[in-house]
Amino acid sequence: MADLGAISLWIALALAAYSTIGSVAGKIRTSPALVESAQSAMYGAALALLVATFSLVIGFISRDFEIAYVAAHSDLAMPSQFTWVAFYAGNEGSLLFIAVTLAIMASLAVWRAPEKLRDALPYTTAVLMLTLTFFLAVTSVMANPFDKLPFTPADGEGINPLLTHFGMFFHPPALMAGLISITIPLAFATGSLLAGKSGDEWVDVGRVWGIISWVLLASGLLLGSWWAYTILGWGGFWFWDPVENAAFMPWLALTAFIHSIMVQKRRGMFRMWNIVLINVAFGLALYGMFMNRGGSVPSVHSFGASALGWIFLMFLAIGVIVPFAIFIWRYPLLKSARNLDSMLSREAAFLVNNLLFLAIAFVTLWGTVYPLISRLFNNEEITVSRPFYDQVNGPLMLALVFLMGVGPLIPWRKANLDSLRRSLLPPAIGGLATVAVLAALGLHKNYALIAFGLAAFVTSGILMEWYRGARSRHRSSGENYAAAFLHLIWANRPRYGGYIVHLSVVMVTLGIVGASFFSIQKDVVLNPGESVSISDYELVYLGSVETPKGNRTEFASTVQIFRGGDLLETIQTKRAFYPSFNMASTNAAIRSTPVEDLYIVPSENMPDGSVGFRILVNPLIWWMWVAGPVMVIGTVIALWPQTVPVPARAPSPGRVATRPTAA
Amino acid sequence: MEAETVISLVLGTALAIFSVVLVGYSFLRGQAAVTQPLSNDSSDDSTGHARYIPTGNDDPALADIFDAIRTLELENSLGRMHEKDFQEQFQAYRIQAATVLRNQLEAGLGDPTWVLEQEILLARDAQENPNRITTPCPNCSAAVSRSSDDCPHCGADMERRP
Repeated sequence: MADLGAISLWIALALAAYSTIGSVAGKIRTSPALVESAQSAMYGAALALLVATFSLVIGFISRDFEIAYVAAHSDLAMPSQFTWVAFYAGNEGSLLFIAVTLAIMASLAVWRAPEKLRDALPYTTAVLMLTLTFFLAVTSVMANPFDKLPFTPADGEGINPLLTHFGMFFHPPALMAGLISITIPLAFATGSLLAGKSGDEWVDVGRVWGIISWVLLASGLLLGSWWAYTILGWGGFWFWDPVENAAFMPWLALTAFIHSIMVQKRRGMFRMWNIVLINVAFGLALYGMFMNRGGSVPSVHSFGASALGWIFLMFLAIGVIVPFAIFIWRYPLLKSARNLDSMLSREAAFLVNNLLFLAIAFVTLWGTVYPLISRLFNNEEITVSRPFYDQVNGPLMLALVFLMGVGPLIPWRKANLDSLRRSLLPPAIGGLATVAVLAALGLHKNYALIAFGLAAFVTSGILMEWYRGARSRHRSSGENYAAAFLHLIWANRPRYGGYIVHLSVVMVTLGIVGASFFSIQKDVVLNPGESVSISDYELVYLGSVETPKGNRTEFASTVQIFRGGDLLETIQTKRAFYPSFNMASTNAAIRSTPVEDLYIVPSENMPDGSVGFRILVNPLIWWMWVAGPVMVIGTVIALWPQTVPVPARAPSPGRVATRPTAA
Repeated sequence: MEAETVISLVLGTALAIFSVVLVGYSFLRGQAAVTQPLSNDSSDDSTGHARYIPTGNDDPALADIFDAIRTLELENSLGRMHEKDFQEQFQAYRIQAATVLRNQLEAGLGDPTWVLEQEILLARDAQENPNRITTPCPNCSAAVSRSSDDCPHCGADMERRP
């Protein structure tokens, strides 16, 4: 099926190029038939890319080692469930995945675009298809996954052992889809500008696709952290690795964007700012793809390194310069409908939140490119490590958590001090009480105290909002509190979905603070029968079993966990050595509870049966992994289509004088 | 030639033919699915801003206004706003909604009785609240803050206000 895949890829490239040119030409020449034809070509490109994708999947399933990419990333011993992971294990497959994702999302976005964007849609299509054309050109010419070997080897080289993990089914595709899907809000924004729209038409669709990109990136980042935690064997979850940062930065810009776009939707403000934010997010996404594919900076993601760097760098330059040039050209159209009424308003809180997000993104960008800059100017590569990011980004992130608690409690336009005091007092008391209790319990790490206090502040504010809203419904409609609460969420999905997402951020904060400030680590070598104590646990190493498997030698070590003399659990950690890759992979044994994780990973198996263990107690990290599903649920609620009841006519003039129902 | 290669070539050719038909269908059909002619102009009116004519009561512009009113109501019921601020903003949204409905009527859509009711109510309200902070736009009648230089709805210059 390699030939079919290759043909489909070229057909998709031709269709995408035609769609780009046809959309613009059709618009300029006022030819609806040409515009419609170009749009059809976009759907055709998506179809052709699906055919190419299936061809490659079939190549993996049938272990067609004549295809160089299949031979390089699979072997006969590879379990069939990892076919999907092998698909994007290298650059060629990743680029095909990015292209097919963009094509499908672009088709959905254009197909479902609202009527009011009709005038701008050809330009939107052109931006989307221009991006797709780039990816397809690179894939077809420089990294074709359907290239054949001159001979068919008996077996392949196998999949990278680090990728044989459950998290890999979702982490790379979520990040790749998240990065490339930023093209969609950018395309709608740029399309509107090119069509000379004043700036508000694209807001709804931009918000929806911005949130979709955001949740994909957030899920990808969390799953990547979980993967690193469970398989890399160092006990941490975030390394400030350049490629991690490359996905984190557009997520920051997108977080600013999805808040800021609400101000434009609600108040007609921040029109210019939102265009800048989506342009920045797109630029950072392209930078992320450049980092991932170009391999210009040393990274744990070295499997993505290639010689494609220069072409991605060129596309990055174009992707930054052109949208900003269009923005400057259309600048006069983007004047806000209103001015900021007061600094004590939700708009102002969102503005400050935006600036903080961008500051963190800039700090992270600086730390990420610093090795390149130092290499360029000093001929010496200086890598920026965790202390830099912790010291600079830590306080900024705490300020963001504070704003996350304040922002939703301030009304739009302006707040008066009385109402602000009424809104903020209960959560402030909750936060301060938490700090007081923790300090009384002997916790004296200032940063951690502040972080826990802020987490309590945000949580109290959200719970208070839920209670007040449910009480209001209960009083007005007579519903019981449970029904009132559920109806409240359902009737105000964007707002209350957002609150749930904020709660998930609080959970992530708890996990980060717990693991960063209170983690305990021990590195020990144990012989069978020996024990070690850590925190209030006692661990007894019973012994290891060595099992040769097809492509690896696996060592399984059994450890008993005691606390207070009671056996809690007997767990098994695994370490496998892959001779063909000269690489070892580990599977940490983790006893996870909401209070703390007991994390045991074998760092080395000695010939005499002794094992080097790294043992950690990571408090509160469980909350970080639970935050992922909560975040997705909140996002789904926020994005669930909401039909606002619009009265077709009033039965009597008196009805208009009555306020519309809040529910 | 291997059977698999032949199948690939046949399927690939079929895909290519399908793509050509897909792309050419719009021209072959002799008419565009786009029902209205596309405008080259970046603006539809003298202000340089496109004017959006609503198409029905499921109109997103109207839904946005009612959504904003619901949010306003919620914030008011949660005690976050002064009654004066609430009334001012509520009034502005109501006038905006009525304006959208009137645009619907002008476009041959909507319910004339409902729009007439709104017009009467707005006129009555203007008499009862002469000091309200919003003022109607001279071009489209949308409620616009007195501090605004341009109408956020149609872009008209508010300096020309009566």
